[in-house]
Amino acid sequence: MEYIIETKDLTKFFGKRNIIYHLNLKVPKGVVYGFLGPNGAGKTTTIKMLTAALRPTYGEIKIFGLEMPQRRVEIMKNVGYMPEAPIAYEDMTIFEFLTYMGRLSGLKKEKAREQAKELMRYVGVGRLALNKIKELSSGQKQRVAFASALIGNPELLILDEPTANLDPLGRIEFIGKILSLAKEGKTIFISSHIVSEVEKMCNYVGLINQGRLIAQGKISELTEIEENDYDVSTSDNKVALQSLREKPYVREAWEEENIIRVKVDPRFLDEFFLQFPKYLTSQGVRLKLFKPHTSPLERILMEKFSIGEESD
Amino acid sequence: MISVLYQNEVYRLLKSRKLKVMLVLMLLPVVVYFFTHEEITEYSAKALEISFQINVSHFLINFWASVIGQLVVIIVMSDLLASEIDRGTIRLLLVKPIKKSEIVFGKFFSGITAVLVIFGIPYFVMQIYMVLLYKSGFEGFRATFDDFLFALGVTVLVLGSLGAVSMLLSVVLSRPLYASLASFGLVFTAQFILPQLPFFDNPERFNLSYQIGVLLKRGFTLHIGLDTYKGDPTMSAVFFVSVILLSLIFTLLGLYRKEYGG
Repeated sequence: MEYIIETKDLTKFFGKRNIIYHLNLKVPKGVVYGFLGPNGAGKTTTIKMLTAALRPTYGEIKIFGLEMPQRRVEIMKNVGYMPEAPIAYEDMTIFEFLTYMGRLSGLKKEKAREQAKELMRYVGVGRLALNKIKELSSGQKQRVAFASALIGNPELLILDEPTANLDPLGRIEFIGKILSLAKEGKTIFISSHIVSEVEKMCNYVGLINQGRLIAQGKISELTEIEENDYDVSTSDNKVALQSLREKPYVREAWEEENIIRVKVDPRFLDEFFLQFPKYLTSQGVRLKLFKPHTSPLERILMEKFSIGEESD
Repeated sequence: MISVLYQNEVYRLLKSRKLKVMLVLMLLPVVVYFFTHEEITEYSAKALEISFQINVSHFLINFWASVIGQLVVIIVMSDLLASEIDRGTIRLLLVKPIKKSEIVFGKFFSGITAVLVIFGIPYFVMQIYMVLLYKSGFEGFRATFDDFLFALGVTVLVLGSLGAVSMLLSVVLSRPLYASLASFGLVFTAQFILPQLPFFDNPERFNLSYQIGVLLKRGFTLHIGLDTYKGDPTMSAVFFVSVILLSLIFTLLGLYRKEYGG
């Protein structure tokens, strides 16, 4: 498999404090890779090493098969980066800033101006083109930072907490844009601590906690373990709840805010899936909601992170 | 890529209020000359050239390259890299296909361009005013143009070396204000305090203004008063070029060693 980003035993100390510990990232080509972990897990430090802002204490980084930071200039021809807090030249207008970033990416002046205009429209700041960056809200700055990452049409995007300052609508819009960029075949590396967003955007995930990579791989493969805690909602919850309590494969069932929580004996999950909906239909009760209580990724996160904490 | 960085930085500097204030400050000697110039007794290109050399040397040694001029250069040059590091925008440059040497040299040359503007405009205004005063027309302009360029070259060489040292300190300290203060401290210690120690002969030669006099001696041959500045202009020029080169090399090394975690 071709890896766009590959690290080997990547380790970072700040003084005597170990921030990143033997990190072995493998980001295949064309995936949307979610780098997921709680605040302070080491996500931003890792990204800073990937973008040559910090030097690893030891370990290797390869991007496009080239060593970082030794081949930084070659690597950066094809990398777009969005920092965790939007950084920009505050005295420039959005148009000036994006044109400058385009020119630094190697675009000719006219091409850079053209792309800047396109990207301003794409991220939704077209009407603010001549506003100075210091006059923008943090959400608007975030959009400008995203446009700056996209200028030059890079093959790899490294986005650090990209939705942090966006409003809910902006987040939905952003997720849509990431999915369409993924369809174009770009490799996207996104750091985040928001599980639901990673689930929507990413097909690959790396879980980091306290500087250690706890798990990594396709989300579908990591979340194969079956859930035994489900949320159910029906047109008649009373009937459904009573029936569930009578079933031998149900360990516990109770109602919380019109949702029935069911804990199923994992040995009898097949029976639960086959028999319970059939029974409801026979009673004339319509099934409105039937899903695992926690998202698969959330569950794997909780499992893995608790293991990480115990081992410390 | 260096040209993109250079153009952007020059544009930013030229637009800045700081540069305009400094330019006004540097125009002060011209205003002083306007009100206090000597009575003109001979209207010729030769007389103009002698007067131009005398007046430019006087203002250059006593004002333009003295404490005020040095402060101006330190403020301009220490901001170039330190502001990028301080605001974190250096990280935007590091994720672009631009070499660190291009960042250092692009910034340095943009700073030198700002110095050329801040000092070049007053020199030029002075030249034009004197040409008009001596009623020597194009002939007078041509006669003093070489002197104008020479004075500007000497200014850039001496103050450019000071600027390069400021850039080096700014990379070490990462904050424009601290870098400016450290540069002032270093420069004034080197010029005024260390030479007071008993084992330094002729302490005034450590003064940048004095070295300006030494360098001007080479080109301003009609101004015999410059002979009081003892020293070899070539050696002084070599010294200042070396300071510029060494400072830029160490600035580059500093940029390679530095981490940008903030």
